[in-house]
Amino acid sequence: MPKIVFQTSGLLKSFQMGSLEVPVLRGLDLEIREGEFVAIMGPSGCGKSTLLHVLGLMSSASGGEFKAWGQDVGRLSQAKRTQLRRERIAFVFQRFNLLGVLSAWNNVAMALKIRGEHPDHQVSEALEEVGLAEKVRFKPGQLSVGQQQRVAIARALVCKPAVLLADEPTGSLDSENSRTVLRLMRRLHDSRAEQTTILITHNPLIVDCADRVLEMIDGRIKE
Amino acid sequence: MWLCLANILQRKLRAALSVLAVGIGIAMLIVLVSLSRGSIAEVVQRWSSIEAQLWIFPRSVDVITAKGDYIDDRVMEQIRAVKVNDEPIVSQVFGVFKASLQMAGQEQSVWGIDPDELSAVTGKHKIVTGRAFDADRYFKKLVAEKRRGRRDYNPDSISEGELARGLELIIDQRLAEAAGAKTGDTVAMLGKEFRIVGIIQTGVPARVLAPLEVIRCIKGVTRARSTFYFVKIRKGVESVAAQEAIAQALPSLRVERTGAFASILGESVAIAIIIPDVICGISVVVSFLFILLTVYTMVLERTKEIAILRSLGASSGFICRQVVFESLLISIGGIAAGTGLAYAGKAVIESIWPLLTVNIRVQWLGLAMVVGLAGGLLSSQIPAWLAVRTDPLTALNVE
Ligand SMILES: Nc1ncnc2c1ncn2[C@@H]1O[C@H](COP(=O)(O)OP(=O)(O)OP(=O)(O)O)[C@@H](O)[C@H]1O
Ligand SMILES: [Mg+2]
Repeated sequence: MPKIVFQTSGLLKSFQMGSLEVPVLRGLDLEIREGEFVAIMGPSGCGKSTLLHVLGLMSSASGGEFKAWGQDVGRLSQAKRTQLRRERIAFVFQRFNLLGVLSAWNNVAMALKIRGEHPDHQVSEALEEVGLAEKVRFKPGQLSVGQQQRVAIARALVCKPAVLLADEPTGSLDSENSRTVLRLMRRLHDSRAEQTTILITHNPLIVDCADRVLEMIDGRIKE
Repeated sequence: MWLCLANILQRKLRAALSVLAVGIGIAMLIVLVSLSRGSIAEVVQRWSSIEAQLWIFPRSVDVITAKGDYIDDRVMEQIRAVKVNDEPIVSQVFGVFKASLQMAGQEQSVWGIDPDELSAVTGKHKIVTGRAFDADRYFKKLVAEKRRGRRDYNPDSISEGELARGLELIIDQRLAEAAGAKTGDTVAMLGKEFRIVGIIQTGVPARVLAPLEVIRCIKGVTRARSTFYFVKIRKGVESVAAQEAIAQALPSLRVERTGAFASILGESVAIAIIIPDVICGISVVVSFLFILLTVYTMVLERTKEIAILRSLGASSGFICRQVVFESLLISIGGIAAGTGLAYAGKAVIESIWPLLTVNIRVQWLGLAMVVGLAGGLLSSQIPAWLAVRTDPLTALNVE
């Protein structure tokens, strides 16, 4: 049996709106193992993005248990969590979130720079893998939306993360581009044995791609 | 760190303005410091040609303007009479009567001095064209004759024609160049037309030197008086000991060593140094407020970018470094621009006021560099703190 990457039980997350406490994750149980390609689906506002941010160590849970690679995340310092995210986790967002002032090449290289690695041939290779070998000098504004999302995927994968977290990566794309991106993500997932992928989507095409599809409703996973 | 560069290039105009603002502050710093220190150093340098060891003046005299009471030349006898261990210590005393004239767009101080004592203040400096004033001692002898051994005489007894022969002066080369003057030219002083009879090498304590008795005569001084005196001490006598002995004998006068002129000048022109220094300080602070504002708005408009870096796993230190680095880039640009502007400023100042000395020394450039970098570093602290504090998730959510 592969190792457990993320494990939550009774995970809680609420937001403070003035004096009002808005619960979003309400006792969520989840277990994700190494090498899995998991899709999370669910109605808008049920807390999918919130869950992904907690899993990606971008925000902390309000309660419950959350273990990442066996470590109790609640006990980790901010710096330690940042380090863990830097070394093992990569994001792909719905709106790409590329750095507009930098070329495709530099956007991808940035991920390496932040990890203290010297960007080199891996950058071009990553861009080649997503089919953008010719566009390395282009800035995001000069690329189509589908190409921008592929740059974002190249940026996520160049560091060979243990976990790839994608929040509606096809949400801004048409059906043709969505298909390309989902296939690309599956192919890249398969090319690296230990990579775990967690993907939030409304896209029905995912059913063919994912190993497992989780339904989320009202801050919980429906079994 | 091409992200910072890319960001700066993205907003070229704003970056250029910040660089310019910092550059102006830095240039002000370099020019004002070089000007105030350079001018003082130049005056002190010129004083070093004086061969007398002591300088004596009334306590009421202001060192820079030399405005104050004149001293009766009788005091020279008292100075000569001072002894240490029953041995006379003074070998020569002579007076200087100060006046001023307008030349090269500036007030020039004029030292009226006995033609026989001239070499004691000019030292090794040579007259390069023409000759010394009152070279045949015509006027000196004329006044001596009128006095006939008495201390008083009536200056009105000297005729216009006799005075005209004495209206001579010499100027230094730097003033000659600055004013475009040559021997044979005339300049107005005390309502008379003086003829430039000689030009002396730059480095003499006063740029204009004129015959003592002529100045006194025009000023209607009946009894011999001077603005201050110089004293040469006999060989083998300690100048400090001589200074003390004379000061004791003449308590109403201030006795200083000419070698200590730098510090005397320093204390009396402290205000002339402090004012430019305060102006520099203010301009530097203002230019760094400019950096602060630039970097601050940059952080504000780039919360999204910072959030992206965060999502890529950037630590607080990494985010901080981006901000500080950007600020330092602007500072370095500012230092470079400021150094360039400072040299331009020096050229402009020296072409408008050729007698001002803007002496840009390596140490002032170094100071500007340190101030620039420190300012850049300091002014990036608030924006850096702001950058670290921004919540990445809210920033990523808003489009
Ligand atoms: N920073 C926040 N402050 C307050 N409430 C928040 C915050 N972020 C999210 N929420 C609330 O949490 C709930 C879940 O948000 P979330 O973004 O996780 O939904 P989602 O499942 O991703 O929806 P969608 O499919 O539309 O993206 C929403 O009701 C939202 O209003
Ligand atoms: Mg969402």
